[in-house]
Amino acid sequence: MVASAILITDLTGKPLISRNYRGDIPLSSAAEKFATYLLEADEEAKKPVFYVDANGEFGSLKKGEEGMEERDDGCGVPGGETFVYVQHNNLYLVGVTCKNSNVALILTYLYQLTALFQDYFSTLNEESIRDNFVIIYELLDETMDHGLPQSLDSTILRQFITQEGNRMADDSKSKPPVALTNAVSWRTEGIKHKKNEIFLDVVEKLNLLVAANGTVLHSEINGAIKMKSFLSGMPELKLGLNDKVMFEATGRNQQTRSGKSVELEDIKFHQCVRLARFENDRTISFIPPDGEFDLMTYRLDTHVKPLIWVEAVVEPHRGSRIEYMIKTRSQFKSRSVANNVEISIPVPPDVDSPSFKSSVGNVTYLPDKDCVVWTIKQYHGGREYLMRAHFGLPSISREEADGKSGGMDTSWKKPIGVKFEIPYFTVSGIQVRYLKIIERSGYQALPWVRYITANGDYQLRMA
Amino acid sequence: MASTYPNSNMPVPGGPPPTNGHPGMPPGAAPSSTTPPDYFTESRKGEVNELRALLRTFGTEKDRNRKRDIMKKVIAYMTLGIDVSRLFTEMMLAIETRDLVIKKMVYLFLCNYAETHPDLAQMCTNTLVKDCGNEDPMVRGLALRALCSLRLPQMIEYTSEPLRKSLQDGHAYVRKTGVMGILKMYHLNQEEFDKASFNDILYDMLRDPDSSVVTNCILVLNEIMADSGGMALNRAVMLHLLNRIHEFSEFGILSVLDLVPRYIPANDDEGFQIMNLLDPVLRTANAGAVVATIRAFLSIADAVGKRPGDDRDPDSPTVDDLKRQVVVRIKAPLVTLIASSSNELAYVLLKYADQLIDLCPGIFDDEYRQFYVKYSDPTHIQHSKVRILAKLANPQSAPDIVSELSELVANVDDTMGRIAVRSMCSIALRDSGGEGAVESIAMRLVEMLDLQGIPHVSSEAAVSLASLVRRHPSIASAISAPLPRALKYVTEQSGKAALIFLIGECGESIIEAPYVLEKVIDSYENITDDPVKTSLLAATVTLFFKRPSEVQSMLGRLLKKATDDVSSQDNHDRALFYYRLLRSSPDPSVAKSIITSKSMAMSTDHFAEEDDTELRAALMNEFNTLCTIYRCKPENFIDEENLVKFVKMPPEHPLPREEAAAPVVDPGVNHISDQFGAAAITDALPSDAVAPAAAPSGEVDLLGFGDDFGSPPPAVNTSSLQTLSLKSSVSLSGDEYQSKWGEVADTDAVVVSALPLRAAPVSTDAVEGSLSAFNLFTMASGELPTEFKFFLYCQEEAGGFYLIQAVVQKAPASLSLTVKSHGYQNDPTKVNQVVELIKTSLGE
Repeated sequence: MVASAILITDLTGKPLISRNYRGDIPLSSAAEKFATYLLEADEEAKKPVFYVDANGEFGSLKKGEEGMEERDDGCGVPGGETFVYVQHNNLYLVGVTCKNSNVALILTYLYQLTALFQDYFSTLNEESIRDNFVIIYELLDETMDHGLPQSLDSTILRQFITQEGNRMADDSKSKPPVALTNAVSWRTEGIKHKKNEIFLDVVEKLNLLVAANGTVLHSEINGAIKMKSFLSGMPELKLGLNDKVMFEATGRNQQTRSGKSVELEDIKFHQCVRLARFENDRTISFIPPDGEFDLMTYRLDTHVKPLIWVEAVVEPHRGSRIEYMIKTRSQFKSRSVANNVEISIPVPPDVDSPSFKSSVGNVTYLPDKDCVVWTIKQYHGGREYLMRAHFGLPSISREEADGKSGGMDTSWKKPIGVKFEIPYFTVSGIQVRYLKIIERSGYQALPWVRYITANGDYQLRMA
Repeated sequence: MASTYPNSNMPVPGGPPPTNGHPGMPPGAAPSSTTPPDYFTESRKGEVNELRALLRTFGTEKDRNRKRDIMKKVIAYMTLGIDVSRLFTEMMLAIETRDLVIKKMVYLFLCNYAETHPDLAQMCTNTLVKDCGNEDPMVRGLALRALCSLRLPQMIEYTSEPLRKSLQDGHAYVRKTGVMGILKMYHLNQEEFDKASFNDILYDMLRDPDSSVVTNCILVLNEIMADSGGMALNRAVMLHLLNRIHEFSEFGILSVLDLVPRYIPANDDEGFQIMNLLDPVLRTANAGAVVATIRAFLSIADAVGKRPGDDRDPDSPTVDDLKRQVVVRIKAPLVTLIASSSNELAYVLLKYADQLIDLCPGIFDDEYRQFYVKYSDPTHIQHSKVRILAKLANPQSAPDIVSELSELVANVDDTMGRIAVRSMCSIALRDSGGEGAVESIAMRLVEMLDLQGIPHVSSEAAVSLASLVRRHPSIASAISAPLPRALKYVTEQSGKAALIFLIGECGESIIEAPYVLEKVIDSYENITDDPVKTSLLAATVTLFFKRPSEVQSMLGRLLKKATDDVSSQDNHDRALFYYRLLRSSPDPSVAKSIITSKSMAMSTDHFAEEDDTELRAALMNEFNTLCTIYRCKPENFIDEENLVKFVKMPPEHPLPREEAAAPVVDPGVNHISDQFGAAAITDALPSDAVAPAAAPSGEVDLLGFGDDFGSPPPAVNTSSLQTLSLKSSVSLSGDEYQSKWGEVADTDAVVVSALPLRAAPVSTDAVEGSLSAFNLFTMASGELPTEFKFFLYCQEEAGGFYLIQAVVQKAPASLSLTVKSHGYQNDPTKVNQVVELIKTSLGE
């Protein structure tokens, strides 16, 4: 991977700070090209990776890329630059390259850089960039050299790039930490905490897509085990899960049969986990970094019963009013409670005089988002609630006013969205069986475990 | 603009008073900003002057924080684009400081303005060089980085010494900075760089105990050696790096992973071992590493799989099988990444998935639900997903996919609607939806024709139907009914042209077809679009042969109008062609057979212009780069000097099937693969490399020399041939071989035909192994049903080459040779000795 330069710009593409690592592209013209793209490209055609050829044209490679138009292999004038960008708040972080680089890598770098800045400045936006020019330069220099990424670990970088700065030479602290160049690159020796604690959150997000006729098109669980570690020294941790594959390997089949184990389809680990060990006997053993990190993420592509089901019956009366009847049902065990449930129902943009009736919770109309939000603070399992909404419609609909008329409603219907959080519950049934903490000094450490299930991308299409 | 006020945003705790005197100071816009009137320039100058005044107090200032604040101000101005280079001298005075933060800021300032003020920058070189010897490794590293980043060619002489020293530094931070510094020097001045000969040191440093140093060595070597495809690889280096891969940081891993696709494993087992070793990387969360691993796997599969025509164990898996296995393995990790990534990364990964689906169709089919469009997805992701969805259709999933696609047709995004229609069409064209799918898709398309409110969809549906009828003529009668009606309201020209074409094709089943066309013909003057005219001509002529009596008169009128119309040469000529054909042919059936021939019908599942097999193969070589995103070959968007060609290494691992371009093209024998064509066979095959390659599992050794493949040839053998002594190490590439072969006229060649052999060899490997023991090397070899063919070469100590084409008949076993001597006059005795040598090596 080679990034010629990294730019951080505001939303108009004006660079706030930049670093030209290789000097093989003219930085100011590159910044102009980026701003032009933001300004001129169609909002819908904008892509996070785009090419601007030597003449400043950015559509020239589009033909091949779209795969729709007739392909012309002679397209494009070589010698331009490729821009790869991500947005964060009111900033764009942009990587520029003139080589055939590894895009996934540039993106990963940009994401991690964002995380690093957030770690340093707590919020990353235009303001915090302007307030921290010097430290950003230091970080840009330390994370990338000559366009090749170096170390991006915030816990390590924090030790020698601090807001306060260090004294040099006479102060032993300013030595670049061994960890920067160590095999255990994510942790330094000699960390001390008064209280040795470790917090473990099992967070599962449920992605769901339901068709208008009520069939579940797609459902999957994206899970993560998040850790917050406050442990001294160099602790060795071992995490035990009710992993089906491991149970089978170790011959604990009874538990498998009783349905208490989980088959995790695809697991990804933080770099601290010894992967070879996991491959051998499914043991998750690691030396944790200090502070917060995601130990592992996993995905389950199982058919889950939608935890919160929503049905909508819409009765439009053209030119006068529109009525909604929303029925919702919680399909989890009654001892669990979903907190802060928000069901948002899209409505046409030109409705007026809303009125609602609901058996529970609050209903509000958000005209700026063209939707109605029904909030239920505490939603117990196995319940069913009903809500009615009534709106007035203008006598001339917007389409008619625009002069469009058609046999079919052309507006792409927004889906119903649901937000919720269910504590002490995981959809997959994953459980932490143990977390062993072994450290040379032999201190007793406290592991805390929490489970939570929340909505991911949870969408139910409207009829 | 207000937000760019340097004053209001500067973190100046107790900042120096002068700036506070200008609260309304104009924004420090970049010099390129559009309207900086003189007034503002003036005041900016004022600010810089104030800074200078401040800097002058720098030396006497005692408070460290105050000092830092002054520096920060300078850097902030620099960042905002104000030219503060006039402060160069003052800044350089501050370089002598013990405060690391200030030092860094001065270095930064220096690097930023060195290019524009080379002479000033030169003044501070001494300080930098001195800092490179500082006791603090941090300072040493920083100074070295600054020194190398000045980008001043005239500074090279100062840099090479500190660089060299840094490579032996006790601290890894300095070493890794030094390695990067070498690269900077390389880009600055290649001549000086070559003199310094850092390459060998870098190769040695691949064994550095610190992984980040090794990572940088790899990256630097790759770039320095870009002309030959990147860092030179051999077995020892590759295995060394792979064994240490788990020590590397998540970005460091990538540097090693990117080497793997270029490495040819010594044998199949090694290939599989590498795959096993890399398998855990698929579990890391770094998308870059996962995709790099995918590429590495595919490349190994390419190297160790069996291909038709090679002489591996018939039971070993073929290349295609292996690739499918690889794709099966990486499916879950890739899908997880797509599902859990942010939009930008998901977009990139979808492109990769698309390419893998093209490579191995069918494997991702059961994951089709992952590619359902979500309302919240950005447009470009939606488009990518829909295109992929169409490729995943199989008889089980097609109904779901088609109904999902038809949901999208009425999307507000026009392009989305079009893509959805086209995707449905492509499912039907490829016939991947199973029984009845074509008909149901056709019916859906017909319904879409009637979507009057959405002109682009009805038009797109018409175009799709036209393609469908060409592929599946049987559906013509089923879709014909609404065509005349649709012609009235389809407004887009491409849709119109498609409808007219369809009406001509389905003429038998549409009663009113002639009258519909007649209307169009009568308003011929109003048609502006050429394709519509073309299809009108074609449709009318086709219809004429189906319903002659009704069409005859209107055809006449049309031909008249079209031949009079000179707006398009093509249409004019077509009309004239039809006219002459119809008039001149004595027998109307001849004209009929020409016009109604089924030339429009398709027999394959894609149109010729959509055939992109070649492009796809080229893209596979560049997997995991921008090429995949753009679907373009690299030369289309990368400057020539930045192109890095893909070279497989090491040359001493030519796999049995790796056949270089041979002098005589013999398609039966040589499966010449371009990417190997350039691989040069340099060293003599070292015994350990030959042994595994030459002895595939449990081979019957009929020739009886299997045991001493690897051992050097008995000294007696070579010395007994008094006049001929061959080099044990010859370097000759396929291209050179070919040109040398061509240089010697066929008439000068010595031909020895049909020498009887005791037994035919079992495989090319066995022969090659024994030949190499006699310093006879193989350029290419292959097996035909009745014979083996070898292209051999050897070099005399004196320098002349012998190029030999050897054909070994299997039954009865016999040997034919064509020997060309290159570089000197034919010497029959020597040629005879070469022939003897070959015979000896074949066991005679």
